[in-house]
Amino acid sequence: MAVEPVSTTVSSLSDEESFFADVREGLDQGLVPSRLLNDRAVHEMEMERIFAKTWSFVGHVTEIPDRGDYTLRYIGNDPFIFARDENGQIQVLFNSCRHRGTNVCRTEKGNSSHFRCPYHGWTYQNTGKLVGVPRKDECFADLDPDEWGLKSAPRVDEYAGFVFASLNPDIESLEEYLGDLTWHLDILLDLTEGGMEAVGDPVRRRIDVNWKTVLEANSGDAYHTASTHQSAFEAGIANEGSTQVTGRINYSESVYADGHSLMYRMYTDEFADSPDADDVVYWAYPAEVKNRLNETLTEGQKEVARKSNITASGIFPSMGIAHTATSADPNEPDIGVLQIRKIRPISANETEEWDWLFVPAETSSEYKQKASNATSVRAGTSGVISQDDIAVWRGITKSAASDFARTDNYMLNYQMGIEAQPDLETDDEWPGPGEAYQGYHDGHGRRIYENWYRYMTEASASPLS
Amino acid sequence: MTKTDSTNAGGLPSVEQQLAVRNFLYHEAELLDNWELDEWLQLLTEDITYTMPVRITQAKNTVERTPTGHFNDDLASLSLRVRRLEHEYAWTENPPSRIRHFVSNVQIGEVGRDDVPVRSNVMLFRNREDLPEYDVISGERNDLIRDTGEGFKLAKREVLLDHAVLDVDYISTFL
Repeated sequence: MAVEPVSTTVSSLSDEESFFADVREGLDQGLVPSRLLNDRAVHEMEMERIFAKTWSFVGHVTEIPDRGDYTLRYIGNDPFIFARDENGQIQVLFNSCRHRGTNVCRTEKGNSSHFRCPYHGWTYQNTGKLVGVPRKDECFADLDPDEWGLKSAPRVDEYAGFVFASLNPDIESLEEYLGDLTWHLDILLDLTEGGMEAVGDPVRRRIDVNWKTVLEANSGDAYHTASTHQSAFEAGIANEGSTQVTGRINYSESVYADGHSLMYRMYTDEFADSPDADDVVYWAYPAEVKNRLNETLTEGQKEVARKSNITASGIFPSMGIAHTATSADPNEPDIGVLQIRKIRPISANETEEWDWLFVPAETSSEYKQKASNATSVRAGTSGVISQDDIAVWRGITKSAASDFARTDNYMLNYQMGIEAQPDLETDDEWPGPGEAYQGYHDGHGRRIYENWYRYMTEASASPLS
Repeated sequence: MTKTDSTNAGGLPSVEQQLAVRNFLYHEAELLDNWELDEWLQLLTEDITYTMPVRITQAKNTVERTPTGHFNDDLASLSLRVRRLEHEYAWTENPPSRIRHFVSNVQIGEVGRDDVPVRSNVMLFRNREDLPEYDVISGERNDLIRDTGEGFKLAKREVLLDHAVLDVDYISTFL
């Protein structure tokens, strides 16, 4: 039985202009209206104005390595078949028969050269082409099959093997959309010669939390870790060497690049240069990874990678990246893992989280097993880190549905490090593009809501330029 | 269940053996329901592997295999999980959920081996906070149970959930 712990308010935004004016006034002060985090009318607008207009991560090429491989994926909440066709090309095909609309792909994963609709038997090649219509001469003599193939997503693009798709035919290219973030993605997603490889199938589960809370947490916020995750740290999820607990030899760097955000936990120069750090630099990846860094990386990029212990990033609106040095056993050294998260916005109070594990292609099968062990302990369904995140997020979604949140115009504080409180200055020594701040900073959250505001109020603008 | 105890022809378990295994599984479930997790760890062998693979819907007769999972553990990581749950700031379980494991359909495989295969069904009920709603998770367990001479211990468990997309936000106990 599905749990429905929070009430959703059916709120007709009868005065849209005044509603968004209130939101704007709040954002200008670093305040976010709580009601945005559990409101049915807002959610419907978000599906139309954000999820139908942006780039959505669909899957990685290593998940469909062989011709005929396919898996069922979503753009927003729309079902698409992510497939490698008979010619070796990637396809993202709307999972709906052109005849009467039922789903032609009836499993979540498989290998097939064709998709056959169970209703009337219309058959499509995995390129999308309609190749079989039963009794065609008798029933559909004039039908031109070329006009009745499975529909492709309007736009499909790829970065380092990560395939994205969009329902917006006019969207800018993926590279333009990512902008300066690509400098960071080169490090996070394209670190080695062999590229990243998916390990197994993603974990999928539903959480009673609004999608924006999840995106925000993926994009940064070093401030919460000491309190939310204290139980996990004291149980030993982070080795002394990885320094998450000690804080003496690491610091946080928040970076903002063209509407997307990152949080790097970096080793100090002194520690990174010392012999103690040999096994933990580059997110504690082993020698076979460190020795095969992508030749296209600049010295600045390599230096950032070298000093990295944990890097979290959020790609607006629905993708999270976490490159982490971690271990399932405090007596064992940390190893590097790449966790990719996709956010599927089910409703105002529910999100379906997809969690993938990736490792560099250069790693061994023993390493993959250890990575799978470490990742399931840390993240995903039973993760000692992810569980406590959800425990605290649930309450946000619950209070956001309250009548009081509306009548009081109840505002949440996103003012940490705001320009009006100039305690933090831009880090001019940061080697990459984007604005960088050391220490604790709410900029990632504020930027998510700035993106949100632009998409929600300017339908035709390019919000992330 | 040791070789010396196996007196039935064809290695079928005796009634006593069946009762003993069932009682072991019921005792294990009770420890989990009461959050007596240190005691639960004592029921595991040093070389235990505890896995709960991700399920994904595939065509009939397809063998599912995935290395990723909801759990993919050994004794060290299970101990880490228990240590965390005992901490005051393990927010998911402070206040503790009300959970109940229902274990049924226990079938014992061939006895006379060191580790005896045991299959069982499990259903986990969970109710939290002040919510009237509850969660139910269903699955099957494929275990290897070892008679150490000082009682049974769990040497291996694979939990196959009956869910592909989970409708629960986290699993903070063990199935």
